[in-house]
Amino acid sequence: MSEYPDCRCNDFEKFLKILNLMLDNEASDDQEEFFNAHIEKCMVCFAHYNIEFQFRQLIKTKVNYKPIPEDLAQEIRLKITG
Amino acid sequence: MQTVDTSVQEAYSDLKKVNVFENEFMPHVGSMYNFAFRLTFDEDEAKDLVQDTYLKAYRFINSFQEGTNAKAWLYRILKNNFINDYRKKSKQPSKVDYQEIEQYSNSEDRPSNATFDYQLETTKDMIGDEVSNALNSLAVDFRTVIILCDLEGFTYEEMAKILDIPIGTVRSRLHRARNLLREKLGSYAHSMGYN
Repeated sequence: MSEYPDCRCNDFEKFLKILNLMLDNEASDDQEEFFNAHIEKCMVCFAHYNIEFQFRQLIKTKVNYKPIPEDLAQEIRLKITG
Repeated sequence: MQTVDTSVQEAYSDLKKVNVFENEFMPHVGSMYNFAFRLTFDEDEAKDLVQDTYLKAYRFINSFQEGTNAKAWLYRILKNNFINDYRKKSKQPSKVDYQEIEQYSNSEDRPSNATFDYQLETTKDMIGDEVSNALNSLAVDFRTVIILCDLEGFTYEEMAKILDIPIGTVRSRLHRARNLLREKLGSYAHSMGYN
C-alpha cells in the first residue's frame, strides 16, 4: 500500500499543525491566512488538505442518523408535567 | 389543563419553565437520542438515558440562562448519566485504554499514513453502515469525540466542557480517534479488495 508522500516544502510541519484546526473551524485568523495562502502555492499540501476534508465529509454524510422513536418526546413531556 | 389557582407570578414561572424546556431543550431530542444510542447501542437504554437527562435538566432548569448553550449542557448531563449508570451496572470502570491516549504524543500532528491513500476513491463508495460500524467499534472515549466534533459540530471549547477535559486533550483525543477510524475503514476497504 503506497503512502501519500510528505510534502518537501519548508512549511509542511506548520501546515500539519494547522490542518486539523482549519478543518474543525478552530484556527486563528493568522493561522487561517497562512493556511489559505500556503495551499494555493503548494500542491502536495493542498492534496493532503483535500484528503482530510473528504475524510471529514465521509464521516458527516455516511454515519446513519437513527430516527427518533415516535413516543419519546411525548413521554418526556408527560414525565415533566406529571 | 389544570385551572390556574396559584399566584400570577408562580403561574408565569411555570409557563416560562415550559417555554424554555420546549424552545431550548426539546429541539435537541433527536441528536440526544442518537448520541445516547451510539453510547449504549441499545434503543431502550438510549431512550431511558435521554429521558433521565431531560428530567434532570428540568429539575435544574432554574440554573439555565437563556441565550447560553443548552445543547452543550444537555450533552454534558447525558454523558455523565451514562458514565454513572455504566459504572453502576458493570461495577467496572470503562474499558477505555487511557494508557493508549496518554502514550500518544500531543506533538504528533501527522495523520496516520498506514492507510493514507485509500480514502478518496474507495471509501466514498462505502455505504453508511460500514462507516457507522467503524465508528461504533472505537472505544467509547474516541467514539464520543468524533460524534461531538464531526457529527454535532461542537467546538473544542464546548467539548472540553462537556467532557471535563482540557482543550489539549480534546485535540489529541480527536486526532487519535480519527487515525483509529481511518485504520478501521482502511482495513474494511482492504478486505473488500479496494486497495
